[in-house]
Amino acid sequence: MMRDLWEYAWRETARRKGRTLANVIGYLLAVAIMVVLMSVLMFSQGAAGSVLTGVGTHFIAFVPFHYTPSAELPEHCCGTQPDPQWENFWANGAPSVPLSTELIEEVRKLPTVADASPCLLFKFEDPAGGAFTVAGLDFSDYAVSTTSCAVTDIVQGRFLQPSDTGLVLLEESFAVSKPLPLGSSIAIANTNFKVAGIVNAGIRPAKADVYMNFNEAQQVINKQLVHPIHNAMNIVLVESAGAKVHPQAMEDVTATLGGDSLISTYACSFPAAEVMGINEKGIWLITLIVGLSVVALALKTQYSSVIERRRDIGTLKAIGWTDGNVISQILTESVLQAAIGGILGCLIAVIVLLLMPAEVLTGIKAAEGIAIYPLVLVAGFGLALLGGIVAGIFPALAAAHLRPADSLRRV
Amino acid sequence: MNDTLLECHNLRKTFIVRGKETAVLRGVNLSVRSGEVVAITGKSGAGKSVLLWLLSGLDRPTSGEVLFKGRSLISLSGSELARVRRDKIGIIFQDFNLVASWTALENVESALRHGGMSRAARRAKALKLLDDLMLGDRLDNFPSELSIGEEQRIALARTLANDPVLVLADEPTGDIDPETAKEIVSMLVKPVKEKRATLIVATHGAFPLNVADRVLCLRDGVLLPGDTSPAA
Repeated sequence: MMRDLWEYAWRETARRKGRTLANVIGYLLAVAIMVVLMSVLMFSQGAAGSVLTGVGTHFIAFVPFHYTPSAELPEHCCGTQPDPQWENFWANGAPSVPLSTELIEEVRKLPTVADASPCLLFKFEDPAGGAFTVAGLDFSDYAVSTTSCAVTDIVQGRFLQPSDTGLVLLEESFAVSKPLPLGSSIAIANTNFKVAGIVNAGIRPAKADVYMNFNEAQQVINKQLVHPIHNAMNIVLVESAGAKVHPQAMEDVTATLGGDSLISTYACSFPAAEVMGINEKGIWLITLIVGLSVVALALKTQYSSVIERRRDIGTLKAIGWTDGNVISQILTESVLQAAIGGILGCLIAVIVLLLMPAEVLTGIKAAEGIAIYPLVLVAGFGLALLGGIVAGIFPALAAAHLRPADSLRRV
Repeated sequence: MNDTLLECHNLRKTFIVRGKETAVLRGVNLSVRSGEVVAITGKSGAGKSVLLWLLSGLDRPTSGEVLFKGRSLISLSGSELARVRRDKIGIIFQDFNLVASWTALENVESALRHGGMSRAARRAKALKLLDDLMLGDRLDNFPSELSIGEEQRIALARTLANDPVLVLADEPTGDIDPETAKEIVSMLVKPVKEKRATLIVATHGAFPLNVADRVLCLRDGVLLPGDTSPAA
């Protein structure tokens, strides 16, 4: 039965060349355009992700300290210097409270978060006058490089390794103002550290004057506290799982840290993500318009074919073909043409993607070409088949509803 | 024993053309026995084709009833009617109505396609029918590549493919030269009579009425007893 259907459909497809060609070319163009656009979209999403990572899919989270002149100072807060405006846990230019480092694991488990790292940022009084900030970091974590300082920020000397002891990095402006050249020593809570490198960290949200390894930071901070801290941090450094989930990641982390927590991030990530979103929406819209246009064209051609074959259909019904026989035959013809167009469209798309450089198709300079995703090819072929069914079902129903006498009667 | 195969009672068919009612059939009564050959004569436009279509269930009457083997065709659904036509009724059209994009063999096989036969059996039966009608060398030709007589023989093979108990032939020799017409009549009547099938032929005079058991004349929308002269 099925073999008969396909055989008869193939004969019709092969023998009515003009109509077949019109339909097949329509499906071919639609599938080729859809596959190329979808591949370009996926490529550009990857590229966009890189761009957005650079402009800020990261943030810091902390809980600010609610200071009032009449309020009692927290026990852990101060040692020799009782004024929390001078020596305290510091975040985003204001005092903050320490948090358990166990929270880091909870934050890392969030699906919207790619990486999280603990940070101890403490504001020390400078014996020479004023104050400076020290950031204790785990330099093995990726989130450190996007929110605080990175190896690419090195101006002089070298970057710190997680195993380094007795060494610090200085922010360039701090080093110049003190002055503290490369190789000199800096005393922090009566402990001397050698300057291993000078960095310019730009405008990262967990920027400090001095950077050191997390454990050493905890030791020097504890020297200033009445009640030393253990397994504590005051800032969570977070890298979001992507530009699209960046706002959601901030909400998730805030919820994990508690209602009083605050976020600091780059404002430019939001408009950048929006721009990328418009680009993506535009491609989907074009794909939808192309797909619908082809289905409409195929529908029109199939319907014209039914009108043209009205007398044949009437004859077949007169010799005993049921409505179901007629519907399945016309539908099979439509699906066959869509399948041929779909396969050829996928082939054309693959050739275009292989031959055309990514820069020509996307405007993005890339070392590698646009990848050919099997799933996109399957989706393109599937859409063609779906189009064939949609374009075939209405003419098939119309053909089935033709009364044999009306089809055969000579007008 | 009642061997009536087909009957119709007070069959009426009215068409509305440009808002004006035209009554083509005005109360046709007919009863045909199994194995009978009936010729229905009448002028062009008298309604012979309309009557055949009503008798085969291709069209529905404005009023009246058609009974095939005692069963009303009016009460059947489109699909039920299609099955009755596929298994019991063969129709020959005035202008053959072959599917232009199918070969001679495919046209004949199309009548057998949904009857539950295997592909091999279908092919064998179609080949035999075409061979019997001296078209064995025209199997792969399209209708446009055949003569009118050959086209009519293919249409005949398609009609006889399912061994119908009732054959309705609408002007089967209408546009064919007398020599070929004679062959067609022979090819049509011989198997019908061999298989004790019933044949109703609508003709405006080209069909030899002497082969008919009964001749009726459709005039003014009603069937009247007719004479056997070709000019009737």
